[in-house]
Amino acid sequence: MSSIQIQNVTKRFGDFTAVDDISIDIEEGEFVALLGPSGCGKTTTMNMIAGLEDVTEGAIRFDGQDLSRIRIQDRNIGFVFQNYAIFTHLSVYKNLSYGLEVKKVDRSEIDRRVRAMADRMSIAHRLDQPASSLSVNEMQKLAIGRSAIVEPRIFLLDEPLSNLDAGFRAYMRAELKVLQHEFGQTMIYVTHDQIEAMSLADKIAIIDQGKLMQYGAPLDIYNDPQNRFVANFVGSPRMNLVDGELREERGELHLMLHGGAEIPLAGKVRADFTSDARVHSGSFGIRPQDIYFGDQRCPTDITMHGKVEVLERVGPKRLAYLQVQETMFLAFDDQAQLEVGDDVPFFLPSDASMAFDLDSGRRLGGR
Amino acid sequence: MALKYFFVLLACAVVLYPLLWMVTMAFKPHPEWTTVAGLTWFPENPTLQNFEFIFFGRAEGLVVSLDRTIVGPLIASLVTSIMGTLVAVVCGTLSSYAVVRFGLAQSLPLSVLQLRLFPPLAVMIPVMVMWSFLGAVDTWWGLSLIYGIVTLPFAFWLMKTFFEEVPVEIEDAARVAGCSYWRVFYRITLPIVKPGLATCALFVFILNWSDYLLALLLTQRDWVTLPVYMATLTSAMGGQMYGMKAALGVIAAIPPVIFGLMIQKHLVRGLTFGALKQ
Repeated sequence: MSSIQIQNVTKRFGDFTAVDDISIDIEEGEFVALLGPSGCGKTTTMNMIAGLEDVTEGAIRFDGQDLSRIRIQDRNIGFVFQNYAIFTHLSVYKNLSYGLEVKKVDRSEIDRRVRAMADRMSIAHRLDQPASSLSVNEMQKLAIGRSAIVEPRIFLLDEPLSNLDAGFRAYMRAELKVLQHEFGQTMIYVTHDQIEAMSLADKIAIIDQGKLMQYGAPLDIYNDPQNRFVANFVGSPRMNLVDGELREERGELHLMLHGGAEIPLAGKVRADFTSDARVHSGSFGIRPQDIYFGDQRCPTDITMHGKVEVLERVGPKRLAYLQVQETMFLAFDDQAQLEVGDDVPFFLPSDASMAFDLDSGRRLGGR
Repeated sequence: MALKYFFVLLACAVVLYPLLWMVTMAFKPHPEWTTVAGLTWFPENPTLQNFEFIFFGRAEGLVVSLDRTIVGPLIASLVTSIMGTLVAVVCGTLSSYAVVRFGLAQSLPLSVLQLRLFPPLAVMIPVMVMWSFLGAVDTWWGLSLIYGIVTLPFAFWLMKTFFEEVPVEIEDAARVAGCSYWRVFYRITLPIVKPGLATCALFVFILNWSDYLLALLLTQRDWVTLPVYMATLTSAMGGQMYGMKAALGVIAAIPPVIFGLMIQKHLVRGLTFGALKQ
């Protein structure tokens, strides 16, 4: 077990900056997810922690000790690769024992630990078979078992579940959480799947184009995104984010949407937009489940009118696509009262709405 | 379906007919080599005379004799082909791995290929001068060296494609487990490309084994190889010694066949390497 400090780390490949000045503190025993779209630099970050890539600038420390001085073989890291990287020319047993053999662990001890791990990962009946004969699901278990068996200081998982079928993925997700509890190890988990990150991690680092967008507990990130990217990336269905120009007329502040509609700002969200006088174009955000229909519940809630274009069933609820001029809002039809083609008023609660600066993407105001 | 088999059979016939001719000829006595009555498919009076002749230099019932038997050239061919194969495969494997995995010497693949762009004859004059300067003419190491050099590009390019197929993550996994670069190469990568390595060795060996030109120019007496030796099998009295040549051909075909059978299991995998994605 180890704590990890990633300090102002930058990684360049020639002219291309893959990772740009990222700092993340990871406590001992924490489960941290690196979340971001493909190609955002999360795997590069992971590879630098493992030592597979050098750090261009900045430092990575384990328990305060600078990693760049430690050879990769001495870092004692467990790494589960996206494509598992099973040694297909060896048997399942040899795959599991490999790390221990390299570390020159005693034969009988190796045998004991291999069998225990095979039992733990329920692949004991496959021990003597060639690893190439395993199913994808079993390879995944083997890959995790092979990394876990050496009892690494930290455990790195690079999109380990992305190749699995949906059912087994849900199972492995639960299994990983149990494993982390058992091992008590510091785990870093790379994924582009926000549901995985949300359900597994103690903390999430959201990365976009090599930059750290936000780092915090899953719920904090969900409830209090610090910028437009995070607001847009986290949550399913996605947050409604509409862009426009701020215009003040006779003491009323409006967001003139690029689609032609306008939002009369009021209450907290109005205060947020006016918190920085330099901001002229903004982005208005509201999660679909916060929009409501029927009667206005609070005087500062914003009233809009829209036409129901589509009703989509999402589990027990229906998701309504509300067209306001050229702009589309998504809202849950919680009382099952809407029909396609209806022209209905709906309400955007001011307290649940978020304001962003369109140019920088920065969150205006706060919770 | 029938058409498919027709072409398969046709291809087999084209490939196998000369082999059949060689094998049957090897067992034909002198009068049956060429006849006015026309050739027969199989020897009417099968004999081992031809083999006896090339191994011992003389045979019962033949007036001609050889001052040189097959034994010397056979050993020369085996030694130089095997050593040349070792040189090409070892150097080709290590250098292509360095290029593929560490991105070293990016221009190397093409410069290596330049060697193959020239007709061998074009470079042979300078090579002969160098070799005689080095005292390498008509030595086993001189011929092995040129075999290794000439087939190196082939080994390099073949191994390069095999290494490119190995996912880098497998090596990373081994490195994270605590292996040094050398150990990763030796214990993980090399076993994975073993089929390719075996195929490569076989191809290079066959190239070396069947070489005529280099051996002709760089050997004189002690290290004359089988192909060169075969060309000398003519006699002033008997003309072309077809039977002996055929017998020699049969003997010469044995080592590549044995080698091929030994690595047969890998051969299929090696030839289709890359066609299979996990």
